[in-house]
Amino acid sequence: MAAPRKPFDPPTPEQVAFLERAIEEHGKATYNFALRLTHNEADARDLTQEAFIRVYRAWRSFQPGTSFVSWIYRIVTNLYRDELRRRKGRYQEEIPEDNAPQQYGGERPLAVEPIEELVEAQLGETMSKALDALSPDQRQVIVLADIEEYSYQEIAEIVGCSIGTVRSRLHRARQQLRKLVEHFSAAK
Amino acid sequence: MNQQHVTTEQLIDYLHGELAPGDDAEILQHLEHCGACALAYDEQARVSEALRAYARMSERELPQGVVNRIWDRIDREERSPSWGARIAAFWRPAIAVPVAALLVIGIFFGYSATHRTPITTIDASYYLQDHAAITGTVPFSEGIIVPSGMGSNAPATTTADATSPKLSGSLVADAR
Repeated sequence: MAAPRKPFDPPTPEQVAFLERAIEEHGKATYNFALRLTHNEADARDLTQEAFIRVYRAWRSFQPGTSFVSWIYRIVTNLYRDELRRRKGRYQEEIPEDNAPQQYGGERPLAVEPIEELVEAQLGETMSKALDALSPDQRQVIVLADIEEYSYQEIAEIVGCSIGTVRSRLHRARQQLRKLVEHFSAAK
Repeated sequence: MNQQHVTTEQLIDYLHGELAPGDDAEILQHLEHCGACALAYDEQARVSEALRAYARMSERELPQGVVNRIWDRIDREERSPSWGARIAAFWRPAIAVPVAALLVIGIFFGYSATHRTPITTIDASYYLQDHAAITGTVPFSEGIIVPSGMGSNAPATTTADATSPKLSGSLVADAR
């Protein structure tokens, strides 16, 4: 890894080109990721801006051959976590709950399937409310696993936790999401 | 696996391709024969599909204002670096090394000046004790030294040197 740029060193053309290309190729994805994470446009704009500033400053620490998107998602995730902590502890790590697996089938009735019944117009609003009602941790893992389609290993690297934590967090998040979708669908 | 229904957790891991190949194959086989679990799996799959559909629907372009703010901020920082950056730039080796050396020297001399080893002094009582000890070994000397603890057998005594504050009754001498 090359040495980081010293303070007061003028920006090199490579550094500027690196940021230009990063914004052009991944700016939209990064902004949408920040939007899904925060569920707030103002926060998503600030988060995206700050993430690209970090990319610019730390451009030499990016290792060619690795995924740039994973790298910037990790930056966004860390910035978001720091920001939530700064806002007087609104961000709280999930306390592991009862992880007893739920058995499907047999005598147990299947859950209602509200998602199937949702028409596209309703889907946006219901899903938006349901995602908004999740904890930041749960929203983050669902976005990474189901929307961005990262593996548990990749999510663990982005979020900075173990694969086991990703797995249990995703299980709880999806069950919680289903309940919330049912709730908001019934409220219509 | 064929007799036992699949748990929600297993279905979620299966859906995300996170099971070991053997477990993955077992669940696939089970889902082909168990209608209840197949329905449960379909529902989990629909949750993922709904999430992706929502993501597509709610996708936004990166606002140009964000891009402008990124470059503005970089320009501003390049022109007038923050105090942190200035201090970091000031604290380069050419300055840091001499300053650190001066600090070390200053601390060394400062410590030496404030923590001098006290000069060894000999208390006056030492000479008196020494003298008394020598005198005590010489029979028929002028003064008989009697340790203070010898009480009633001792003759009338007085202090050998009433003016010495250090001689606090440890030694007494015959005043006669």
